Amino acid sequence: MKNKGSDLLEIDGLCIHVPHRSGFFRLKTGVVKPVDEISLKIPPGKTLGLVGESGSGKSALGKAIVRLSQPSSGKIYFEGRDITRVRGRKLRALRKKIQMVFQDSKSSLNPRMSVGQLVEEPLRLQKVGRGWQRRARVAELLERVELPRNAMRKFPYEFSAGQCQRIAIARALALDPKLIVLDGSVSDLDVSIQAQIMNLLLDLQEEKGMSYLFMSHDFSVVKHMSDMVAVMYLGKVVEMAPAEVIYQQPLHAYTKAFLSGVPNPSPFEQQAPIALQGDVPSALNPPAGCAFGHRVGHVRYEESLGQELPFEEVTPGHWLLRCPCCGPI
Amino acid sequence: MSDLLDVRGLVTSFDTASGWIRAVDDVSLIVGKGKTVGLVGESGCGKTVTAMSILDLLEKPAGHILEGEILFKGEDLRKVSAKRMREVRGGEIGVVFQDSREILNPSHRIGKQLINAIRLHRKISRKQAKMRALELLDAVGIPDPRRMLVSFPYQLSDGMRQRVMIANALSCDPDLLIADEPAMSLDVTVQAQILDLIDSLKEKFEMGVLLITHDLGVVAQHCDDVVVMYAGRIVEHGSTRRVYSDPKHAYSKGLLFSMPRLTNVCKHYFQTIPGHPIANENLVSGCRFCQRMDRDKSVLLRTRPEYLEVWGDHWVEVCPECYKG
Amino acid sequence: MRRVCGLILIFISLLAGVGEFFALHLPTVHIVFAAREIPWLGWAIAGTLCVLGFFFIVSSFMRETSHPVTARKLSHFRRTKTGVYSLVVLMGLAMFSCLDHLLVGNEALVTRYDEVIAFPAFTKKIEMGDDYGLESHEVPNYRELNKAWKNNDGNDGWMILPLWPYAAKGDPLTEEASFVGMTSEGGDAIAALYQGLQVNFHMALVYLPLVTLIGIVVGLSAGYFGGVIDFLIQRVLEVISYVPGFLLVVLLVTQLFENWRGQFLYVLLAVATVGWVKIASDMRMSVKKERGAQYMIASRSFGASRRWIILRHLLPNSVSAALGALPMTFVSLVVSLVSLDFLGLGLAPQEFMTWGTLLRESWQSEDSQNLTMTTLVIISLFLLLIVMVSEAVREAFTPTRFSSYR
Repeated sequence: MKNKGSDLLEIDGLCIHVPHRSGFFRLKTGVVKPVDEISLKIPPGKTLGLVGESGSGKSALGKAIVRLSQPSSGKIYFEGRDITRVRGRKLRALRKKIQMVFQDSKSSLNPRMSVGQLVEEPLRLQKVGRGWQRRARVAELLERVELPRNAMRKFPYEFSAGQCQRIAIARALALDPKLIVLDGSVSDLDVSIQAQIMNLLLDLQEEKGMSYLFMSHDFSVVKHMSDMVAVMYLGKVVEMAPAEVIYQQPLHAYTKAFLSGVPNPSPFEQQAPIALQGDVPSALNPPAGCAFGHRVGHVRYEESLGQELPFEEVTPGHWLLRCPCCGPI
Repeated sequence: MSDLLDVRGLVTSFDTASGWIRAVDDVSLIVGKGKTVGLVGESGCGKTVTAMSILDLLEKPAGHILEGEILFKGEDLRKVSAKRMREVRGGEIGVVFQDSREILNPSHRIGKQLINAIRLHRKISRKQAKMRALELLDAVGIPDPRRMLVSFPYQLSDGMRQRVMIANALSCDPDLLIADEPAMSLDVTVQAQILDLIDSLKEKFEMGVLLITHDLGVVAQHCDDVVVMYAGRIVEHGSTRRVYSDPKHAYSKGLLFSMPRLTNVCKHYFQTIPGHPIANENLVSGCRFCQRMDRDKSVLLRTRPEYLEVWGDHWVEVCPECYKG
Repeated sequence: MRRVCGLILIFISLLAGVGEFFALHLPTVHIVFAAREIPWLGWAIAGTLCVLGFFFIVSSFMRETSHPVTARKLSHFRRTKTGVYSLVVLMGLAMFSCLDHLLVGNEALVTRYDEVIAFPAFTKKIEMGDDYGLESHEVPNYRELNKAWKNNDGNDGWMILPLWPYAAKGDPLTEEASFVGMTSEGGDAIAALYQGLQVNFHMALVYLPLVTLIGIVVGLSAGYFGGVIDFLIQRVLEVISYVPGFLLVVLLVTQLFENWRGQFLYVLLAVATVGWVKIASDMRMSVKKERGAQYMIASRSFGASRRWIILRHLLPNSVSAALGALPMTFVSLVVSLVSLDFLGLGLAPQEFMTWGTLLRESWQSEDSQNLTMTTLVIISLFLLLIVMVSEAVREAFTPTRFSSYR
């Protein structure tokens, strides 16, 4: 089942459990599980889109993959090797291959550093090339992301949000990574700029053959950018399928509700969003059993209690978190 | 006159480090009773400033309304006394802001804030105000209104807080509701609920709604008319169906094309609007979209294009380059 | 800008070296070699200054413009007129105080007697009375000598005296030179006030960098490491701020190290014990604020070590907030010094005549009202200057938001 050879990145049963402490003595009062038993695969040169609302755990997952945080259990395989507990020099070498682009472009760039210094930083840290070689590479990268030549001497505050995101992308490309994790990277941008950046990302992927893990809360954007789409809810992946399939044939109740809520930009088709009672529950004390079933008060919710919900492939390429209340039988 | 709100030639200017800048440059729009008008545009185009100007909530001393008339039910809000303006604000025009966390006072219970808001505009007793508050909370779909009254803002989720804000805005039966990105920071599932709520309340209370958003999909689903703003000016306006099916201005076209849609083919390139937004101080007096598109014709950049009705109630800024027949 | 600083530093270090080498007593730069007990220290300091000067000059060629973030703060500072004027006056006073015995002193600058040109003020060699044809083998009273020569139509010789030819101590003054009065050590009061001004600047020159360094290091540790370290440092900060710091200083000065009392460095260190607190506290807050910034997380994601993140990202961005407290630290230094001297616990009056000491003496006697008032006025004005600069600095670092649209 697990073909470790073919996939670039594979996650198996990943869990991130964060103890929640409160009170004067900071005693552990609960556990937050931003990532709860997630298994995913990203083939080389392809994009896996991860869509989920706030609190679904996407950012935590992204950080774990880039190894900015340590998972509590489960495994991450990169290029066939287990990188879950890697440290020190091996971790440094790994960082060359997995990069991240953050949501807020302006705050991910040190305002006191010039653009040239910012893009050069990864090269300096990884001790790649000599001074003049690095600077040449920086110029090349900036040109690739369609920024003007004189941008090297300027500072982030002189650029708009979209341009700052280009700088961040140039920086992520500096080490020639195989996988880039994009955490909400186009979410804060205006529509026209968003489109430009998405085009740029697609272009770069085609040219360099990188894989992307593209995360957002905007389903349309994710669908547009991805080969495969995985839907996350409260730390679990509830459904995963090729982009077109998940749009045409959503199986999980949450996916259906999500899709129906995306505003359709055609005034001629009035949509009827599936009404959901209640709000997204807190990740602190998630209800037992199927969290979504609990939220919508599904009649078959009780059946899900106490069960380990399996994540299965119902049709080739289409995975579902099987649960009596949410998925089809 | 069925026009609730009739803004004519509004010009709002700010005093910045680089001099006076017109954030809103000759904007006119009409909101009729029972209609939702969507004011759409990207960040920095001046839509929020327009709303703040209507309500006279500009940051002083920097912001000034230079010209224009703001006719609300026939009364020019620029000419009324401060007292009357206070009555209008909240009493006849309800406002829903973007970030509920900053609007609600974190140290007061919801009930207290609601009741105070109600009693500010109506001379009724506390008990009656409380009854009204409960009614409102129920109308906005809050499951346990009594419990909500004694809760604090921090105890609520974003969706709930936004509902409370809407309840607050509706507390005095306003005739006009101005909603500035009411569902922006909310999750998609909650967003749909909130917007539908506004729609149903609009029908129930017979209000006019001015919905400010950057999301073209929201406008398509919830607005009868749409006003497209760019760089402080209106470039196109008309009924939503007309403008969406046949956008006339290059900017509107560009916006509609560069929206990612679920119906799009995956991993397909967009038709985008090139260039990036130009800072306010560098905007020309002529066609600003031509400036963004980097069109060299100095004539276009100097003379402001006219704003004409090109079809039945479909108006466009007729710049020779941006509007082509 | 950097080039000018660099040149000044090199100039100072060269002057000090030359002065020491040729046994000259040059204005102000002689303090580099003030520590007589440690002969090599002076050379070390001069050397360091020289190197620093070169460093500034070289680095000014490597980067053409000043950092824009700093430039923005500077331009904001320049917009506050009171701040700029106060700073200009302050710098003027600093340069004024550098003139040292060129301006105020009772030794002649140049003398010519018997075909011999001498520079009594500038040489370590002390001219004696018989060098000038006087009977006594003592240090001559140059003022009277000048008067005598003038009466003689300049036939004996001529001399150039400083503009205010009186000294703060050890001056053979018979009557008051000005309305301000005389000091107990036998000197002129105005000269003493001048020396007081000098002492303020000299002390600030060592005190401010020292206190800033300690403050930054402590604040950084507290803010970055958090946890227990932060807890402990915070408690220390609290204790020092709530207990009147000055009392602590007095305790230190009186209870420890009896034989070092009155010495420059000792007083300085004692005041420094409490002076770093404000800077550390500001720095801590600034570090805590910047700590969670995304760009540091981004840096980590391409393999930055802790040291890199602290030095390259955290420090440059949080230091400027901490520096806002610098002018007020100067104020507290001056106030502490005046208070200590007033109580007789500060600098030894035999060595340094400072404002506090002047106040102390004049306070007690009836007929030195003038001196008291003048000293008080001078202290107040000086502090006012620094306070105005401080306000402008704060304004530059944290601009008020609603004065204009951003």
